[in-house]
Amino acid sequence: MSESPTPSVKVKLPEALFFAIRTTAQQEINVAIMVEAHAKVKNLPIYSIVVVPELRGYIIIEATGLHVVYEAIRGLKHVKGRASGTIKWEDLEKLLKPKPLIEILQEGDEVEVTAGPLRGARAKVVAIDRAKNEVTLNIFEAQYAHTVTVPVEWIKIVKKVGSSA
Amino acid sequence: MSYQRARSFKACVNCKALVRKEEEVCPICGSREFSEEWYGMVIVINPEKSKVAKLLGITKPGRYALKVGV
Repeated sequence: MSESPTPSVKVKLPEALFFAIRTTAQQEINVAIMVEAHAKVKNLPIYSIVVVPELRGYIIIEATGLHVVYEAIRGLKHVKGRASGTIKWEDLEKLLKPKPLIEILQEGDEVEVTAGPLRGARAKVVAIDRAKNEVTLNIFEAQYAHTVTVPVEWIKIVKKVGSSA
Repeated sequence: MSYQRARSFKACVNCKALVRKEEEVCPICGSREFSEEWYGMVIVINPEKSKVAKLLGITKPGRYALKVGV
């Protein structure tokens, strides 16, 4: 009697989702450590916990589902609840690995000088030296055409070229 | 954002792993260089399945800083 071969069943692991948990401000790290302890003790399928300085009062949990998150945060001090929905991977990627300013910068962008003798001055980018990590600026407030070259760490973008804001 | 810096940890300059202040050698990479200036935290529990760990190049479970130094 010949038996038909049993089809191999591939178990597809659930795609991880990112949930934002609201916490007391300045307690994000403590909550993250407590969630880690809960996940390990209860053997919950939580893959990672992220505390981003830009997201004050929130931590992000990478888990397979909402029920896992609720189980992990149940009874924890400093947890104020959960933000509805999930965080898109693209948005989290930007927070975890922000692009360096020199890559975003374009000629014609309006910037503010944040360090050095010209601190506080507004200027327009006229040239970018990506190898040296320097930018050449045309200072707005100067009474005559005044160009200076400063390290990219000394500036912040005020207005991108082509944007109406 | 100094509020993000938990006082009990220091970060390995080489692999960004967070260790207790009394430890002298990084348990992840073996480095002896640490910084007390670190920001953000990533706790990796399952590096094989975590998308965050893959993005940041983390292969071992543990606590890591997002940014080390000024």
